[in-house]
Amino acid sequence: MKMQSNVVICGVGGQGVLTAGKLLSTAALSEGIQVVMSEIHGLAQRGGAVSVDVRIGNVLGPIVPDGKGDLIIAMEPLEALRVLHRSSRESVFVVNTQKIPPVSLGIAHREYPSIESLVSDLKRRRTVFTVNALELARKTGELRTASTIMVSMASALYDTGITDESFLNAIKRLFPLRYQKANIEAFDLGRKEAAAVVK
Amino acid sequence: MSEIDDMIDPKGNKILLLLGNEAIARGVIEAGVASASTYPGTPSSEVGDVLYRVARKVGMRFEYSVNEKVALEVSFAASTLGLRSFVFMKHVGLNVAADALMSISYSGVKGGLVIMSADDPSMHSSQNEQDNRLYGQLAHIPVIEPSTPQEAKDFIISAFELSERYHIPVLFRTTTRVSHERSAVKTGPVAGIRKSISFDYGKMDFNSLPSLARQHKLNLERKMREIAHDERISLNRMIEREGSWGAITSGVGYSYLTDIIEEYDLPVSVLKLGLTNPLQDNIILDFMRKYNNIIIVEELDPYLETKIRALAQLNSISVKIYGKMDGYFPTDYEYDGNVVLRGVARAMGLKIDEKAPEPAVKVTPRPPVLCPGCPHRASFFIVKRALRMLKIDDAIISSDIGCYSLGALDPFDMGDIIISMGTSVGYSSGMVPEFGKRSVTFIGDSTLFHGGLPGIVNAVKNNAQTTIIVLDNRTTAMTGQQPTPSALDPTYEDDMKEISIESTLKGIGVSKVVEADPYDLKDMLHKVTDCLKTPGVTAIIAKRECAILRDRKIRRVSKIVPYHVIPDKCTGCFRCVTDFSCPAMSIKGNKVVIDAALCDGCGVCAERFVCPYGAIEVDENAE
Ligand code: SF4
Ligand code: SF4
Repeated sequence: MKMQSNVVICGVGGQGVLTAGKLLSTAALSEGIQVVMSEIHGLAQRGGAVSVDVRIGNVLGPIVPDGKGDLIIAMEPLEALRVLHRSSRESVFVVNTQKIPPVSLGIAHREYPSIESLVSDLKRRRTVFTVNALELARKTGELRTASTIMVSMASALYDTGITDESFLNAIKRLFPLRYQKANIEAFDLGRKEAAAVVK
Repeated sequence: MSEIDDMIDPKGNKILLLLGNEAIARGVIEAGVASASTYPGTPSSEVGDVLYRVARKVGMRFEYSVNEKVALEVSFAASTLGLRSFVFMKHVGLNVAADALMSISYSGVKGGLVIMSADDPSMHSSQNEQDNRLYGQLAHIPVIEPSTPQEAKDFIISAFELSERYHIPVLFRTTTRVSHERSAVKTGPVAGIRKSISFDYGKMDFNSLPSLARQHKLNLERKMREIAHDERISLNRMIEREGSWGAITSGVGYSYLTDIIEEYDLPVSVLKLGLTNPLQDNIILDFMRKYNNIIIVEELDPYLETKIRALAQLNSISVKIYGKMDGYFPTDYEYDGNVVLRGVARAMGLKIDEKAPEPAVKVTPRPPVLCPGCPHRASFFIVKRALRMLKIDDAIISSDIGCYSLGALDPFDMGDIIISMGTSVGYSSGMVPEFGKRSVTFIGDSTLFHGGLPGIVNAVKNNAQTTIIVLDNRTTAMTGQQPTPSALDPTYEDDMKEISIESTLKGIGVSKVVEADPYDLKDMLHKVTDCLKTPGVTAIIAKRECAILRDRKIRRVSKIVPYHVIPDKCTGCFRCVTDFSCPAMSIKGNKVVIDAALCDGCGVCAERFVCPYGAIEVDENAE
């Protein structure tokens, strides 16, 4: 494990980017690791491009400097490309392939680019793992567990030094009782998916 | 224990992962505050989100006031009764409250009164990035600036002690990155709330008649001189290292600076100021005598820098100061590690081998949009259509602050004017007969009460030509669905009243006032055209709950039933995506599709006004 991990979580407002960040940072704290997270609230959340930074390890500044992101968790493929400058050649990208076309495309009568082209564009530049987290989340009966799946998968593919036990503690702390089961299931699904993609 | 239980736990002594604003709320609870008030505004809103939920449990009175000025006045009232009181707002909110503040500072306070201002460098959610530390200087009151959530909590308690020791209101200033940073906070014990109420009748302590104000001013200056030398205040901190360089900093700048000093092992000692008005001169003078090169790291205006340069000059200290005034650091937008690193490296003449990050790739922009199912979308759609039908092409669109500010973007382009809370109507009251112009005014329910009513009075009085669309979504949506005066507050239902927008407007004398449901496009169109044809000030109250609120209610009992496009009926005219632009719709091949995961099931797009071919239907079989 590195002394410091800089994680950037990006997506579209409403996709659970904040929840993903809270899960990761709560787990880090439960592990006893120093963590600082920077959140987005207010108007920016309304369906726009959002990102939150989670910095794990001995650091105070809440923003990951450009080029210093180690792990990028992208809830949406276009958003993964949008934060490319925040990563380096060594960064790992974990990308949810659920596409959300910006309304500006429709207004201009344009179609969303194909997922394959977006992903291959990314793969030429970085190490990339993909998953359709929304489809997987369906299995848990709760679509909003997609963000838990992403965090689980990403933290398996890039070691942040946080154990499963701390993630499970975090799930119990963050989600109301009626959503805990679905999120624990989502966490398992994410771990399995990670094992499958590295094979 | 759940997060909320921890938040109100009287013993404390726990490590919690708190947002800066949550830490402030905890600080307010620990300080034994009896009364808190606010008008919601990003980046301050989450303080209220916590207090709203827990106030009754801890025995505190909390209210969402009609605007920031009244919020301050309510807290001031509690303070004059001897109670500890806390009022909080975003930076521009303090402009609204400033009139009262400038005299409350003179009269002083009884129970501790702390005023929080959350500034927004980079304007993430604001119309400007004013530096509110200058309000402390203007009002002659102390300014306290935390750097981290832990300090945010701890300093709130110090702020109340200071306020009560000197009977002076204290300005507690955060920025977006401090308010919206989440990190570990160790909680402390909760002080009991002091509840005994008393008022000193006839003493006129709080009266600002000129004869009294003259005396108040002298008292105020004396208090500030004493605070500058009060050694019991421990808000400033020195971190010493070997070497001849010193840095003076406050707020989040301290965090970035510390990371850089550690990463590059720089010989820089740091004086971190938590009390930034008045400056405690002696500490700064000692620091400047020790280190003859001083770097100043602060966001926005060269506030500390101006004062520190003056101090050096007054005391004939020969020291080289590096800051904004000589171009080492920017005066606009928020800082991050890179900005601070560049400034420090230039000042110290360091060659730092930084791989320049790759430039950003060009990706289709994704600005925020109105939610799927947002009632405002329907209102903008209809008003646009009505203007086209009536061939009105010279109406100035005067809009305001709220989610509906987004109506200014494609495809509605409705926002020629957006300035500040309530300016939509104030501006429209300038559409007087002499100028021969007219306007269409958009204002939300919460904004209307906040600062719109005087503008409407002025418009009626001066016979302005405008149609006002009150976007009544039953909440203060943009900042996170806080209650508004016109809708019953679900948590405090039992002791609050609902204020009718319709009778308010009628009472003022608006010539035509009609209510409409924006989801009912036909009726809405009829009423909007009718109002547009009527001279003088007319108003449509477009009443329909914010989609987020409605979703929450639906999800509790059942599921959202989405709509879908019948491919055979869709002609590919793309009128729905071009003119209505719900984010759940997109183009696939030569048809439109609706993403069931995003659709809110409002059904507005199924009306013929949006899809003339009737290709959009409810999808009963959706999973
Ligand atoms: S939060 Fe409510 S008012 Fe704001 S855009 Fe969404 S639905 Fe509309
Ligand atoms: S019903 Fe139509 S307008 Fe309403 S949310 Fe769904 S796609 Fe959007």
